[in-house]
Amino acid sequence: MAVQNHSRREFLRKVAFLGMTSVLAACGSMPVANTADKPAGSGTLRLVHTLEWAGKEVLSPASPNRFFPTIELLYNRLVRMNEAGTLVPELATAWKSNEAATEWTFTLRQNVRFHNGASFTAKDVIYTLQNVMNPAIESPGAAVLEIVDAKKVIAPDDFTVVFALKQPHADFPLLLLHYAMYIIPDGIGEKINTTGIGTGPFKLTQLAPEGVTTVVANLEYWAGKPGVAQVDIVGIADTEARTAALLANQIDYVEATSPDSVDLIKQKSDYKIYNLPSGNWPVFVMKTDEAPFDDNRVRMAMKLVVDREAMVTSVLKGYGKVAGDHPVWPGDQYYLDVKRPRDVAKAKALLAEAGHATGLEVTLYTSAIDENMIPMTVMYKEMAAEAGIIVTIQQEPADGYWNDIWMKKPFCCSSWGERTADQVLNEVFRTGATWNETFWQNAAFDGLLDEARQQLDEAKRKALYQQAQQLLADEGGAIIPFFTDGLSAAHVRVKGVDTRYFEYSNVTLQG
Amino acid sequence: MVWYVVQRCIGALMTLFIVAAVIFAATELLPGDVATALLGRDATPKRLAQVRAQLRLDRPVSERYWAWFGGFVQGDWGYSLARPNQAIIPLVGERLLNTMWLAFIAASVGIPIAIMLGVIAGLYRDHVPDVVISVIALVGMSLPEFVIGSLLMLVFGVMWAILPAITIVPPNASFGQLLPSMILPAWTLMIVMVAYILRMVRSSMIDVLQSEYVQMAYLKGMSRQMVIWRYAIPTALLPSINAIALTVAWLIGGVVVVETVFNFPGIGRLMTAAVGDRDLPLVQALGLVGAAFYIGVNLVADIATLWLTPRLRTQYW
Repeated sequence: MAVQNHSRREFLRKVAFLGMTSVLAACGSMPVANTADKPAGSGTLRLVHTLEWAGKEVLSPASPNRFFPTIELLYNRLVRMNEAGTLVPELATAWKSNEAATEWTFTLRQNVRFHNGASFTAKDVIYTLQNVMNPAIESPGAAVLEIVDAKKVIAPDDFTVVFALKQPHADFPLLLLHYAMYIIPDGIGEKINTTGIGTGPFKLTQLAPEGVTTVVANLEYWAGKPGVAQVDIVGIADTEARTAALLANQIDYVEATSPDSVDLIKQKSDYKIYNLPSGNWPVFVMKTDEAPFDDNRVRMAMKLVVDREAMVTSVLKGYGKVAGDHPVWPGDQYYLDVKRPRDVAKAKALLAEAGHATGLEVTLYTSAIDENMIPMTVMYKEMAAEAGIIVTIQQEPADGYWNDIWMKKPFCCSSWGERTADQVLNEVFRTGATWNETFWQNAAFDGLLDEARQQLDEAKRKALYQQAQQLLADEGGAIIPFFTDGLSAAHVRVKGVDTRYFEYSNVTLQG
Repeated sequence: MVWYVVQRCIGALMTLFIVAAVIFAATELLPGDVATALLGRDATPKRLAQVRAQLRLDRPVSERYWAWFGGFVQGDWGYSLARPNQAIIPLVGERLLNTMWLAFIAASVGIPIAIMLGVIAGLYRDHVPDVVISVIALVGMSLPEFVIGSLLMLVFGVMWAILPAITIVPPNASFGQLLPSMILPAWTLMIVMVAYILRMVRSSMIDVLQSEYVQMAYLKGMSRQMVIWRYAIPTALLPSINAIALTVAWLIGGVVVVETVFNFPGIGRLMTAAVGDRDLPLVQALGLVGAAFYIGVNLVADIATLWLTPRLRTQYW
């Protein structure tokens, strides 16, 4: 039990390890000024949601069928991501860990009130965490926060929370970014599903997932008055219907639209397209424990045949970034830029060395389960042919693909959403991980990940994660040609949606 | 006559019974099983066993079929899989009402227009009115619903912006709230429907006008108006009843596409969502509702034809 009590000098040395983020926080300079002079915003911003749960969306952030993006308007987390990709304070103002990175102490913001008037204190944080860990809730956040010893989360006073971890984790605060960790009031129970009481910039006035859900500005919001008076969230399931609603001026902003819709929206000067990088990655998976992919020379040859720029241009219509066979995306603080230019001659040489001088025949399983998979597969076949690799494409139905093909066939397509470096490397590439789709086993790689988690020095931690990425790119079984971009579109009057981690409270309407 | 109606009703029930078996069998044919389809990538052995037990997939097929069909007949349609704790009956009921309104508007406006245009086209066979009507009908028939829907949306929702392009009211909205949003989808359904019916009416009108008794009526010196209204139209409409019934039944299928395009909260959109979520109890229920509607409409059409045809009426009386 060591909530550390250093002298100021020691403390500053310590926080320097934790990086710029915590320095800012510890010095008490709040990134969001509490601007009482900021005038209240006007107008109604009309958003759309995809009816992902077909009308059963609930406002509990911990629930599997949580209602995006409404929960982002109603609640706050302890921390949030800024545009530079680092953590900044939200409901927590500062955080630090013990030397072993097994115990994290968070100082909470004071004078924050929930929409029902109750004050925000450490009790609410503990309740939120316990709610996430409650097996009856089946929260997607439970697995992510499993590292926390939920029984040993304590509040020494009203505005301090101490998280005890089961294993060391130098980047533990990143885990608190999970949407399940939007803070809800102590003891609210099931009522959170329909009331949506949080500390966020907007308050719920009407919940109708299949119709129009409305929230109004919380004029007592701790970070200043929101930029608009009201936000409507309209439920539209179909992508084309969402585009039509945008063009018919029924909504103002659409996220995750398709390149085809973008072409249509672009023709109208009243609308703007925002093309923001994301960490979503489709992948060709080689099972490294099966011939011919148990030979790293073959794996490298399979990687070298890919013309990644051409794939971005053709498959994604340019809306993407070239990747280098590891899944850490360019926006991540630990990203390593691995260059893997096309080299057919070298691929041929490697294949010959591995005993496939006369050519190699492989079957690539694919499916329409992800829109990019089939075009990627077709391009790969053409590119590989030049190096003497004969690819037979086997298209499978989307139903049963994850069960019958993925992690069963030696060479298939897969696809993943954005995750932080630590999460993606551990979940998908570590020896024995449930989702280790390449069946790659590399003790050095696992060791690097373990070491990184315990390394509190940020520069050293970064070096470890980058070594792991290089190792994975050079020896792993994943051919990752690109990261896709996230496309959104908005009416020109909507301001403040042009960045990756924008906050709805800062969005304004002009004209 | 009564016996005939009873016979047809029993036939309809038998058909429904067979359809139920086919729907059930089709969902059994999924690659893997319902549990793997539902869980996708999260199909760990533990979750699979859980879901299989929950869905009673560990029971034999015949036992599950009888439990499902028995429940269906008794009004226990079970619970949706993707929508936790949501009983299927209220879920379907609310939306079925919206779809019925949509179909009713499309049919009540569309059928009279179709008959009128069909009669005109038949009367002016190969002349300007017929050519114009027939060409428009052919275009209407050949364009898929989603193209017509998108065109109407583009013109009236986006370019002129006088009608809501996309429905943004919830399924439990009142008729008044829904009405503005119903105009474009109803119109889309109507265009396709009118095209089919008018072509049927036109050809039977042409047949009737060439028949001997119409020629006879003219020879007897009856006025053209009298001949058309008294003899030609009523006779020409009879064969159209079945075409109308088929088209109305098609409406239920057509709404799947149209409701998705317009985001209309009816059973069509629910069907799309249910298929997307692999929510099989809901897909099965909606399949049966659709089949029941189809069979019901055809039954009504058969009885109506019988009622309106003296020849058939005496035969079965």
